[in-house]
Amino acid sequence: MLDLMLNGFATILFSPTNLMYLFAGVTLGILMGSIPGLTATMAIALIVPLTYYMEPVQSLIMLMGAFNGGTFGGSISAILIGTPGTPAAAATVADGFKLGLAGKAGKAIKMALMASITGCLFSCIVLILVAEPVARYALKFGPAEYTVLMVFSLTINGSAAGKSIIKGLIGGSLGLLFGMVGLDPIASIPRFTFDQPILSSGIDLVVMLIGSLAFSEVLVQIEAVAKGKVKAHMPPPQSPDDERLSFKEYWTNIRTIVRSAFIGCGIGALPGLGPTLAAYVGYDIAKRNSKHPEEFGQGSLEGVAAAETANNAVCGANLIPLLALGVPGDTVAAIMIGAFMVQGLTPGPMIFREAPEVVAGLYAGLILSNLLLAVLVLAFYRVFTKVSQLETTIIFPAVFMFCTIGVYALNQNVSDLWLMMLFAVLGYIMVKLDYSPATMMIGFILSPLFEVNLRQALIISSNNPSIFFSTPITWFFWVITIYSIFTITRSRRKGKLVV
Amino acid sequence: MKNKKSWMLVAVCLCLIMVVSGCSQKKAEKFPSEPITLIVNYGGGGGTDITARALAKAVEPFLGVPVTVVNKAGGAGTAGIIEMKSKKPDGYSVGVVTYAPLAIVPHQMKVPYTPEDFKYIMGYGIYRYGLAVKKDSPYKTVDDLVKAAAAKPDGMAFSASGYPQPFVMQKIGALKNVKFNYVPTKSGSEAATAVLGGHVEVTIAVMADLMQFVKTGELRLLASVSSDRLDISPNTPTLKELGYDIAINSYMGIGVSKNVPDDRLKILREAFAKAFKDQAFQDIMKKTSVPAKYIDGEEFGKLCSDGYKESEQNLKAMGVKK
Repeated sequence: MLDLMLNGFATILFSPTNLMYLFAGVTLGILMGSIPGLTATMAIALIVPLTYYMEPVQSLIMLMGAFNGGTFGGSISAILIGTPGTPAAAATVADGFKLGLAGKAGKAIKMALMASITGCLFSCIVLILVAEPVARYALKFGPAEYTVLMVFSLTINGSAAGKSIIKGLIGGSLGLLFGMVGLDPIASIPRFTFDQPILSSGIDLVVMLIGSLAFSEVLVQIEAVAKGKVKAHMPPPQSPDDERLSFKEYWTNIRTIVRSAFIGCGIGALPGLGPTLAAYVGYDIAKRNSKHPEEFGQGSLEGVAAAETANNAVCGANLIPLLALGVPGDTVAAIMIGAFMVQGLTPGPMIFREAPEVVAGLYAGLILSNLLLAVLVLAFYRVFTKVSQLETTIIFPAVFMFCTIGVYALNQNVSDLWLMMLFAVLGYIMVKLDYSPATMMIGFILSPLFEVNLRQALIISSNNPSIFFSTPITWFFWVITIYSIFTITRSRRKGKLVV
Repeated sequence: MKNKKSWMLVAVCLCLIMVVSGCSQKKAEKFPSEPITLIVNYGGGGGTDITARALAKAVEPFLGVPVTVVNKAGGAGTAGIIEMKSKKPDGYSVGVVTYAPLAIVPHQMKVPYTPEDFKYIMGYGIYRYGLAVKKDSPYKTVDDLVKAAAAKPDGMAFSASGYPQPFVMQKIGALKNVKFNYVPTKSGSEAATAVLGGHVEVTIAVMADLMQFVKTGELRLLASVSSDRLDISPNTPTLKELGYDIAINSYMGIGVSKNVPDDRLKILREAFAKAFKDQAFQDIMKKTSVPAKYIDGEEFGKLCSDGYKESEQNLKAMGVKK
């Protein structure tokens, strides 16, 4: 195993071509990740056709580099313009953007970078050492287990809700409702579609995200400018310290980072969940366990670290079910299957026997992509922070353009743009009335997972609800759900979570 | 001054909308004299996309113009077909047409087409289906499975990732008077995972999704659900051989709007027929484990129209027709 890994590193480090592909993957990932609307998934889908003519290792490391770079890249725009570049960075906006507005964009980006790298490296280690047993355990999660896990995940709305728990519940329910638009997952019959072809396959997560979180911000800014508030978008750093991240700042958050790494890894190893949920769960649990929960949402470095560690930990972890079982963990992994197949390889247990050198190369590439990520970001973050100090009247038309192009690029469909505008208006109204669009996002992400698993479980048990209490895993999640609700209500009574 | 700035902001935004929505198309005399667009009805990087891109590359030298691939995913594979139909019927927009969105989905959701709205260039791949259980399952044959299901008045759960697969269990159930409950999953590999994890007893899936688990011995194939035995597992009997007169087949093909002139259709058919033989394309088909099979355009059209009528009956029998 060890000499195989060393070989894997050697194939990449001593081959300029391989290194170049990895570099290209990471760069493309960061670029696409940082542009709102273009996601890490799209970066990968773009690369796949190019890989037909590459060697297996080159192709896979380029793809993994893009995934890692893209998942991190989303945080750059989250911090600089309050717009998540990818859905996975949605949880980073709350604190990252506040830090940026305080002139600490450089510090926030570096924290996000260090957190991302730690998360990804941690999940690589888990992947290399215990992929097989973890994947076997993940198989035990059936529809009933997922359903109860979703019930627990809904409680994370508690900390995203802000001042009013009622408004949080309303936002979350709205999200659940929007998640039901499209084909009924069991009967494959359209519902809530009003016979509009655009709605027949449901509302796209990216369209919803860009509309309600990013585009609504453009509306807010137009209003502010109309009222005469033209200002530099972000102030320059107040002191050199605002640009730096000291080791102490990293180390004080190490508990949060490790916790988030575990959460990201666990969620990544379970097929179907993905980095966006990981980031929200990581953020929520960090907030509850923090010594300074009141800082969350006001520019907490810990919050940035929690969300960014968790989403990047998914990068390595979602290869666990893919390599150990041949089951894709999320959309990215599903596209990866195509990339493997083009090379004549089938991801799954056989691959360790058929092509161990490819697997070792893939591991090494994923680890090295973190190094390249650090080099690239540290070399160029000054450019990013300079850009963010331009006037709002320059920044937001650019945001407008990127959002529009990104959403259009999704399906090359103009109707998606109208849908985005609709959500922009909704997001704007929600912000004005003190509702949190984030709660709507969480509901929206959970809705399809919750519904499918709930209904699958009930088909399996012939409508007998006892299936939701049938295994130790379901009991475990019921217990932590109750604990979670208990802590939310208690801390609210104490006024600890009031923001 | 400040008000002016806000108006500028709005104006810039509006200009950008116009730029983004603008596009143009030209027309020409000799066919083909411009790039041809191949619309793939599934997303980038999936099995359909990979094979379609290989085909696009293979057909270029025979058409003498570039063939660009555009992905138009969504609506369970129907969005790409709708897009192709909406283009000018000049032969410059061809589309990948797969069996389910053509013959089955129109009975489930409102789509602006039937298989009769298209002319077909060729069919180029066949999906093979298998019926599988977990390796430690007590069921060694399809009969075992039916017997076990008969003992469950509420029915036995099976996983599959969409039609036509569930038709098989529904028909077995109707023949033997037992009940099978369909647990839909998003993909074939999820359907296989549900069996591996012990959450359902049996699955019907495309062989590409089952094959590797069959190879490692984690899943046991009980039957081929296609009309022939499977190349991958020649010892597994077909359902027909086991006495159940049931088989499902599903295809990948290339089509154009029915209004495309016949001379252009002929040029396209000839070029794609040659491209089918291309070695690089055949290799890709093999790697993605979709058996390549050439079906000429007319025959492919008939398969789809027949399938369209048949699945209407099947869906009615299952009580899930729209």
